[in-house]
Amino acid sequence: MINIEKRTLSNGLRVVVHVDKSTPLAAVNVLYNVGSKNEQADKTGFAHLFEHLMFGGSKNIPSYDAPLQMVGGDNNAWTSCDITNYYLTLPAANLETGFWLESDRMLELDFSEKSLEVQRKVVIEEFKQRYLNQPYGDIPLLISPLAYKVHPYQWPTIGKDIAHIENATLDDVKSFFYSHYAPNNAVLCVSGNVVPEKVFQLAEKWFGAIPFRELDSKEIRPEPEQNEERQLEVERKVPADMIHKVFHIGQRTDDDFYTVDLLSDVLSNGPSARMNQSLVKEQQLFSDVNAYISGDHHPGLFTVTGRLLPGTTIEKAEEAIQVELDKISSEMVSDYELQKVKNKIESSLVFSEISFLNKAMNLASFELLGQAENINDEVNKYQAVTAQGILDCAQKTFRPTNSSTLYYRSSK
Amino acid sequence: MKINRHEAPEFKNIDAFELLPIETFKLNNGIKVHLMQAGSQDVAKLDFLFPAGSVQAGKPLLASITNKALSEGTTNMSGAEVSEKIDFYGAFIGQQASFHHSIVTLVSLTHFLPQTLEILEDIIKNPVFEQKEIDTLINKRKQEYLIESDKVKTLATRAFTQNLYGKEHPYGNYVTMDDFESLTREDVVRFHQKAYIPKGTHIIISGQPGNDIKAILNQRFGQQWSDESPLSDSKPNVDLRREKSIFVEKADALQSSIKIGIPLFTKDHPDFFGMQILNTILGGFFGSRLMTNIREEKGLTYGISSFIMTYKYAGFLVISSDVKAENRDLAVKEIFNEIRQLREELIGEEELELVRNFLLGDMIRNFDGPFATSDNYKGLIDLNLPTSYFNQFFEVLKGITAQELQLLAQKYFKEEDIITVIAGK
Repeated sequence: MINIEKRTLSNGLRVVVHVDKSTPLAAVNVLYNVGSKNEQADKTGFAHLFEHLMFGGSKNIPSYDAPLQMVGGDNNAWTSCDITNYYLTLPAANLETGFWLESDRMLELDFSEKSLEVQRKVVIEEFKQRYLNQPYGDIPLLISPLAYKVHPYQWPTIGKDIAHIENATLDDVKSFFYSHYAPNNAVLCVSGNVVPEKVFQLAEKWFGAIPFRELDSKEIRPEPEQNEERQLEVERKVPADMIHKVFHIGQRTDDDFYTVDLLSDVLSNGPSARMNQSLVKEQQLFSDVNAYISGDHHPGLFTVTGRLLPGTTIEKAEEAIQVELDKISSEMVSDYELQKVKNKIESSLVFSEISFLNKAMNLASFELLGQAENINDEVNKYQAVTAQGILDCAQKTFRPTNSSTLYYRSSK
Repeated sequence: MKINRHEAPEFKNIDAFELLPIETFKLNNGIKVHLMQAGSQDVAKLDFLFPAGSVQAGKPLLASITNKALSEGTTNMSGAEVSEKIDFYGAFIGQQASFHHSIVTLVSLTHFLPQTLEILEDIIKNPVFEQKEIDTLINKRKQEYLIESDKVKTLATRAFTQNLYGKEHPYGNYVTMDDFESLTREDVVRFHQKAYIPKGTHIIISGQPGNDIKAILNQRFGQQWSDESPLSDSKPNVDLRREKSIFVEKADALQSSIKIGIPLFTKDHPDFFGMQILNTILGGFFGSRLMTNIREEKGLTYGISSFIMTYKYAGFLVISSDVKAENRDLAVKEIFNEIRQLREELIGEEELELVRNFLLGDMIRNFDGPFATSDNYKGLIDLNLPTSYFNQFFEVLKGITAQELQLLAQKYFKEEDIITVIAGK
């Protein structure tokens, strides 16, 4: 059981505290409810570029990093299609420094032309380093627009085109800040060796005066149901062919999330999982296979992917994957197999509760999606999944007209 | 409430470093066990370090393939059964070969340890090494090798270590396509017999393994299952003639990967702590000089860092970054400028205090809890260093001066010792 205490400030900021006395440290995690799905189609990659700008100094503090390092702290951040998450850890005695820094950049950024110019270049190099100059790195750029035609999940977090980042202006930056960065659009979670009352006092002191802001209310159009099988084929200078298949599924808060998650675990979580045993070990068609779900806030994707061994054709590979998908869509998983994936989930939940920083991130996420306390129901929700539920889910998901397939061929 | 946002809140300096207590004991056959018992979750991690690294193996790929093949089938269970059982208990087995050890790691819920350790015993003592399984592993490894060979970063790293340690010694990381063909099952079987032995083996335990862990370990691993002695180590040739500048061309690359570094020494060298601090100032954290200059001021790269790598018999310091081809020369020039400044100018008091405080905080993070502690503690085993090593670093960190750091820069960052490797365009 993870202990949780909560308050909401009058400006709408939700504050979650978890006490873990086993560490001398504390974590401050600030989650903003904005990701690449909140971008416009002609200004993609903006949420992530913005994450970089958040380290360029705020209204009253010229440098974010140095004062934190001075008190023994460290920090980082990440952006997804749904959220932007900032976190820091420091000695618990210096907790207030974290509040000072995080509240000032929520209050107002130092919007500087120089910082924008540099971070544009940095992000473009990141784009190249991670997506273009890396074998298989462009798969997210290819698969997202194949699966999504309307919903902004059609572009990856880095953006769909370098030009969008090159063209970002300071006005864009300002309007993005005021329409998404606000106490009423964020969750503050503090974990570690802290006293909840003290944390609430600090929250009131540093965040309490930040004004409530009107948020961007643009509606995100849902992705219409897919009614045709989609395919894309590319050729790249890579050593081996790859196949990448995606199917539409529901969103993180749907009741069947846990069932779909276990469905992916039966297929590929752990060396004994079906696809690993059948496709890699027995038939020796792939060097690597994987099945996983996205867990996005809006309806997401079930991915099945594999890298082929020399001698396997992509057609043969796809057929072998299809045999596994057909099997799980027509026969119920055994009680034993279901118990196995549940045991695995249970132990991975226990492992995830070791790190106080990890807990802060997870609690912030649960609070945003509903309430932080839900984290303590996860085990039960997984335990309640049935074999019949997995069968129903597989049948609903693995339909050809619900699929998009990428053939990534080696030209070598 | 009136607050002053311009001024930083008061803070406390870190003035104490406490290491979790580490208990050591021996199994009946002499295997040394290191136990860090702490943590609020009922889980434990056990690392088995066998004297079975690539240096002892003396043949490329042999140590890693042997290590990976352990779990692919025993005289009692098929590989599929091994995986099935481990997964059923929600446990995880990790296998990793390094230069001087091969490591088998078990992460398990405490109450399943009797079962999961029984499986571990079987894969360590009774692997059958079927030809088919070995072939599968070699093919997989070959593909990974080819994919890695497409990355400019990897090409630069390989050229850098080969230049430092030669193609003969494992530290050089030199593997050819022929090595994948010439490895045989007999090699693997023989190496397993000679290297997965009680003598020279360590077990590092972290977390909450339960009160009867000693008895379970003695039952599973305490007998004299082999009387072999560890295979001998070989040292790299340090008198190699090294190139000062190497270019590995990859015409279709979008970015060039830069590695600029110097040969250094092992962790027990008296200047090691000081160099670790100097490295942090240069490129060892987000606020470092290289990061500030090359990323935050000039936007030439997504990231630049420097780090010190040490092995049992050698060490080096290297600066690493990927930049677009047009920026390559400017980035190299700026890296040399930053190194020169460390030699020529004293580090300012404020910067030194910041780095000192950051590293003190980093130490607390690196030793927070049993799992983090064991990861760092593992690094002491090769050189047989005492845990007071970490306390010594803490003391050096508290007291080091700008003058001492400048002397180190002058001693080790000599222009003529610096090696530059570029892969890409």
